[in-house]
Amino acid sequence: MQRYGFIFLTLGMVVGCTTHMPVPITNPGLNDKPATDIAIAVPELPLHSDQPNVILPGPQTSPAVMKLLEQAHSATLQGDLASAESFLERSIRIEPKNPLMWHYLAKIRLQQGRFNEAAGLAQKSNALARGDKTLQMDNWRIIAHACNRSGDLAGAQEAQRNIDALQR
Amino acid sequence: MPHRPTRKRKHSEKIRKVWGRLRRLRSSGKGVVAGWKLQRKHLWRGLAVLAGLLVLYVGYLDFVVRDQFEHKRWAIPAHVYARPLEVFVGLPLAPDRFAKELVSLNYRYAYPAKDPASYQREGDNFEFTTREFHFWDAQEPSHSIRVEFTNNVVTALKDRTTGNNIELVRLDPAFIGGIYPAHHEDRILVKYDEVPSLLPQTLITIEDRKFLSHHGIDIRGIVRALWQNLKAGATEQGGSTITQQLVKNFYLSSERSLWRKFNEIIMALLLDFHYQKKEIMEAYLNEIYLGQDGQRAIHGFGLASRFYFEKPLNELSTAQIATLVALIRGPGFYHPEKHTKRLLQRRNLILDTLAEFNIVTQQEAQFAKQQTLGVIAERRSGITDYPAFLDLVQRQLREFYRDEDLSSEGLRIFTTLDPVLQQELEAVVHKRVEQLDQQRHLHGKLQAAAVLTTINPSVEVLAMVGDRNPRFAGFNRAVDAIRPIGSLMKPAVFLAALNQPSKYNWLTTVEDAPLTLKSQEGQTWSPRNYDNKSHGSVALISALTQSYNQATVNLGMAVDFPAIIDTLHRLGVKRNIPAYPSSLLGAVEMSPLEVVQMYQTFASGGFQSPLRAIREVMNAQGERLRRYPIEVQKTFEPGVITVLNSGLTQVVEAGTAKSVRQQLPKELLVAGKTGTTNDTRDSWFAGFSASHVGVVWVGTDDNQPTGLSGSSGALRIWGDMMSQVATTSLSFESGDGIEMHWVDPVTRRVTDKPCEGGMNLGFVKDTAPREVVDCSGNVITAESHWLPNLFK
Repeated sequence: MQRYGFIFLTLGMVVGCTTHMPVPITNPGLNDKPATDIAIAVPELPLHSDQPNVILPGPQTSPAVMKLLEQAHSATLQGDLASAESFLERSIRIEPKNPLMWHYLAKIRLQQGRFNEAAGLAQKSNALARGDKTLQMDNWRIIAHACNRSGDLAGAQEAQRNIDALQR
Repeated sequence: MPHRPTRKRKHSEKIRKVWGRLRRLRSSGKGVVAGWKLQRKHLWRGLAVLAGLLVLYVGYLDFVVRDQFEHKRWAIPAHVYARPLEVFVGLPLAPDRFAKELVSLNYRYAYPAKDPASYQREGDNFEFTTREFHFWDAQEPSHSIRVEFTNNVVTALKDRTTGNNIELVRLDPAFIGGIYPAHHEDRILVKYDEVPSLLPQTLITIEDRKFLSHHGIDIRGIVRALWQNLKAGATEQGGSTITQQLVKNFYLSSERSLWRKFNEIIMALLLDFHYQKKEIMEAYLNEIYLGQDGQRAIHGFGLASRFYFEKPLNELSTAQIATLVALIRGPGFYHPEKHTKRLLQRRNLILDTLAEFNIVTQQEAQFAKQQTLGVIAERRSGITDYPAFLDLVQRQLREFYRDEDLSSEGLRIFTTLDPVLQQELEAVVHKRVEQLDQQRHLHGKLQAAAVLTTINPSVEVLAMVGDRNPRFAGFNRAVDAIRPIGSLMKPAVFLAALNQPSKYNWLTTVEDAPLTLKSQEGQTWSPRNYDNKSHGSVALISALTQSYNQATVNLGMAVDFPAIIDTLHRLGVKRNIPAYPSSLLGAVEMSPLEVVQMYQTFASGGFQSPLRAIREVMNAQGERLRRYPIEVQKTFEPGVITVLNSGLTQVVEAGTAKSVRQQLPKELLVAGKTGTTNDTRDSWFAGFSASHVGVVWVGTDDNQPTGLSGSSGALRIWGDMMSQVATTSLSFESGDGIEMHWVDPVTRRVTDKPCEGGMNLGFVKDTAPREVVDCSGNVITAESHWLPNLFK
């Protein structure tokens, strides 16, 4: 599993919720929903995620999915998020109950600046991540971040409460 | 002919007079001569201007001819592809279905299957070579693969070249159709080099024998036609060359005038000047109008061949080629069904002419003349085998693309269709509807629509049928049949109740008793049950599984309307729901596709996703244009949906849909709801597993009673459909705020184990009755029971 050690490291850092939000989209002109960055008007919530947060796929993950994750990772490194999301969708088709796949896709959406979609995917991941507190917390961070960036302060606060509750 | 000399004489007198005047003008002095010179100067100037205008006009025509010809020649239809099959170890897939998949991809059976698009099979093992394909996320090269199946699961996947195990292989996707919506013109492009040589030979022999030697127009042909027409006293021969016919089809309106004829001749000359005969013939082959299919105009021989004979052009017989060429002169005038004799005569005339010019032998012509027309009676859409699905794809595309982009830009559309499931669904719908129709003496009027979707990773349409004859491209009932949904509405009413767990759980009682409601306008409404009986105080679960109407209305009135309407909207229903009590029993109208949208929220555990038929769109050069991304939005707490789903499972296990159990594998747990509307006008079933949602409607277009309830009609088709899908069973476990309990729905008590008639139902934590009984009804003290410990 060592060779996958750096999978999604780049994305993990994005969840660190900084004010800088790169939105590298390969085809900006054709992107359905351009990111509306209204974070300037919304104060950032203090998120307990200053460290790069990377959750690696577990040993039960199938070789087919591992292969796709590898490809998604390398696409991400090249800034080709449109390919990365396709690789991840394919991996979800193979393991739809694996919450990690949904989590990774949520991170990609966040990086694309598609906040509502990111939050929805993180919710989906949480619905599947029974008992996995680390993953649940990370999903709530995505939700808090997404809500914050899209101006849903109440949603961001609720997400933060969930993070706090899980940390207790 | 007495008038001719008279006319001639008059004409020469006129000329003499003019010359006389001119001479007089010349001899009458200087001023006059100067005036004449001035006039002549004006004349020359006028002529020069005219010539200039003419040159300009011809230049303009030249531009039009070249511009349109270039563009039209390269206009490529959008190509639509099915989903690509991905094979990996652990994939549940029957070897026979894998074989069907390869056939739908037009792979040919060959040994040793080393060429792309070939395969061989030994028992449950396959060796095959894929075509290379440019996907959205990667260029997939051709792979040579060995795949092994054991008990309908892929157990080994190897690269045949290296012998190594591989993780995953993605096959090329099946081509399922093209899109040509502009002007309703439909065509399948053919290349000159790919068409059987008999076709252009026949065209030249019949339409334009000088085609290869003339310069776009055939003067002698025009004169001959004029002469023939004069002799016959009517317009019989047009004298148009193939080039002129092409010009007419390409650039000009159908109006008949001298000006148009002038344009036609100039443009034909220009076309011939700029392009080779082969190019002109190819354009003609693709352009010519050959038939009508409702609004759709059939253009070109590629499509006409599919449309009339269900064959590609290069598989047509001599007689069939002659038939298509016969249609050029007027597809309506020579309509294969309306004017069969006329068409046969013209076809045979063509065959005789071909023999006369030694294009075919006398024997061939004689043999061909013996053949029937062979035009298929129920002509299917020429663009696709799956008209209902393609119709949905086009509707989704039109949200972002103009029709002209779809028809000319060569877009590559990647869809969600599973071609094997689609074919299976078509077969079961067709067979069942025939059966039910005969059974109920409906004289062919019974219709059906069915939609099968996966919910992973998003709601994707796998298969879709909009007509009992699924290849018929007509009214797409899966999308456009908007019908009352009847009891399919009930789960929304029960969900609205269960969403208030402090007030309602599956064992809460509700009155199934007669009731009369008065509308504001003073009208009264007294709902009755399907069996015309009232069942008194019943548990919520019994009201749902037995689909009691009176109990549902009572429950709905107690829960309150706004909560139910809100529930419906959170389930993805976009329609306005009238706040009438009859809405509670499904007076609301929806299409099968909308019902899928509603039920997928149950299947997805409270997450809403827009239904999609398209994944990606690329352009002809392989550039990425648009992705239809996965979108999920949580609209209900997953827990309450688990509670509801446990009840909907009992509809299939012990309720109105019990009969479907015989059709399904024993271990497969599914959930759903039957729906029947007044006097059995609509028969519905909507149901799901953990991975698939299916909705079926059965009824007649003129809204006649069919005698079919949800369970005796639609459910049969649904059962057939679901028994063919490799689907995942629903499963229910305690946890995340939900408790599963065995209950006795009659005594409405929680039991310590499964008892006869018992049901396994979900409850929001701490809402189930605390008292637990054994199967004889003896109370087991809470302390001695294991349940309280489990849920601490």
